[in-house]
Amino acid sequence: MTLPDPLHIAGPARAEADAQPPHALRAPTIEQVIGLMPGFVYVFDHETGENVYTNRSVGVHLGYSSEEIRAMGSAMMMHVIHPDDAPLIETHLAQIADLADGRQCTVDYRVLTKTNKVIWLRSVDAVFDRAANGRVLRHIGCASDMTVKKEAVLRLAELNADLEAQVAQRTQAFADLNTELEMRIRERTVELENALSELEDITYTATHDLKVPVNNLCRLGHMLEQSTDTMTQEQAEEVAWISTCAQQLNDKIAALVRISQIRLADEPKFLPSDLSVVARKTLHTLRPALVQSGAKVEVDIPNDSWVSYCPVEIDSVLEAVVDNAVRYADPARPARIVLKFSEEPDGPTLSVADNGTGLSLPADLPKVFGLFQRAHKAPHGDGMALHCAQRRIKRAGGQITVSSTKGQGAEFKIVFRKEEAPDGAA
Amino acid sequence: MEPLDRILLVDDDAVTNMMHTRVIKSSGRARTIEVATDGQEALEIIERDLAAGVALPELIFLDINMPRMGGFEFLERYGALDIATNGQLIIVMLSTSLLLADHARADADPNVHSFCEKPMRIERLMELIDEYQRLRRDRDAA
Repeated sequence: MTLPDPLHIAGPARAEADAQPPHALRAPTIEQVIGLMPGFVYVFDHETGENVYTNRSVGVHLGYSSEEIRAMGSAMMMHVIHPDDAPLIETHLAQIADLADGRQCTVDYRVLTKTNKVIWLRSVDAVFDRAANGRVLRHIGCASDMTVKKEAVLRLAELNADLEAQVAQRTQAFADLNTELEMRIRERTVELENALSELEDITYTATHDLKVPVNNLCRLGHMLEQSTDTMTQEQAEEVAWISTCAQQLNDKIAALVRISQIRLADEPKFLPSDLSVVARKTLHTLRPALVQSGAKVEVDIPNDSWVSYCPVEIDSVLEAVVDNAVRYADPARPARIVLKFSEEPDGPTLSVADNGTGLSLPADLPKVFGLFQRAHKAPHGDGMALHCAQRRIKRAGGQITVSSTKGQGAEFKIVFRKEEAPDGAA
Repeated sequence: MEPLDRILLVDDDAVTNMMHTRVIKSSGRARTIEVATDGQEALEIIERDLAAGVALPELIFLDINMPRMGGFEFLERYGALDIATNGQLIIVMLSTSLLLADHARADADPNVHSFCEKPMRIERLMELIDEYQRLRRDRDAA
């Protein structure tokens, strides 16, 4: 079949082509152009419902022989269109019937090869000619094989769907885990509250119930010591031991109560404290010990060295650290203690350095801060002060560290939690 | 029964040391009792004896928690001395600790003979000395 008339090149283009000398380049015919185009160009007759022109056979492309195509006749397209897409085509044809001149409409649909393989086609159609009353008689279109692209898109959609399903699954798993964690946290909180309550009971018992018999034991020991003149030497020794043991017990109970009070006390109330004032107060409190040891104290803490901390606890911490420096002075040289304030990246820091007996670090570290632990034999101590100091500082979001060389002294650094200076403070 | 030549008590608690000294004296099973108040002091006694070529104490009663150097640190340092005692010295851990971890740690140390609850009773002391002397006889006979 040749193309219907309107497709032939006419007018000036044709006239120009005719005017060219034989050796000059001639304009290609529309058949040549269409023949070289990929895809299928067709003209569809709305009266007969079949293509009146195609540049190449769709049937051959789908694997049918010429005989089979002839046998299918005008019903071929309806035969090869995927049954699920037949309504699409009907709608599309209806759209073309209403289409204005110069407009296009597009449809993607599936056709089946002879071996039932799915091929995706995209048809772009426009009105070709109309009857005198404007009804569309024929439309012209171009169909392209979109299978590769369409399958890629479909595969991508599948992958996306799969991915979305996985994300949904993971999200659900996280949500479940979160719910479980929240439940465990609630359970654990209840357990901790119970444990805290028990600890409070034990503290109360230690403070009141246990203290009574221990105090009585101490008292009885003292009473027995009053009458040792009627005892043998061994008996008198034993009485002295009983008193010592009772006093040890008393001291340990008091220490345990102090520890538990740090643990059980309400959250520390943070207030601005000027370390220069705290240091002066500490040195005043420890004056008797400082005088006795002959220690020279240097204070390098400017006025208005503000930190945020519970005022009572900060006194206690600083006393513990400075007292430690005094206690472990080296008798071989005059004691020297330096208190220095600095703003460090971790927070405001107070350093207490001494030239005392020093520590073997890291081996001594657990003994420095451990409860009832001591890194030195003398002087006697209860292994409480630095433990409590560290516990207090940690509880308030700070830290306390030590560096030392055996025989050359030690430096304790108290790092307070970072806080904005109060209004008006320097 | 021939008494032991020397027992070393390693404990920082003065009353415990006095009580143990009296228990050992009343048993009549040791000629000399020496006291160290921490692991470091005990180590120095052993090093001193080794340097002087003096026989080491036959029995050491070792506390766990002491200032400066505790019982386990002493055991580490003692092990590092690598002394071939041939069973002539045994170490008994003294403890009131209920912590299983302490017992497990002591059991794992080849230089620890056994545990003894403190304060030590005279019957337990007698058992330990009998056992020490029996082991020594068996070894001498071998």
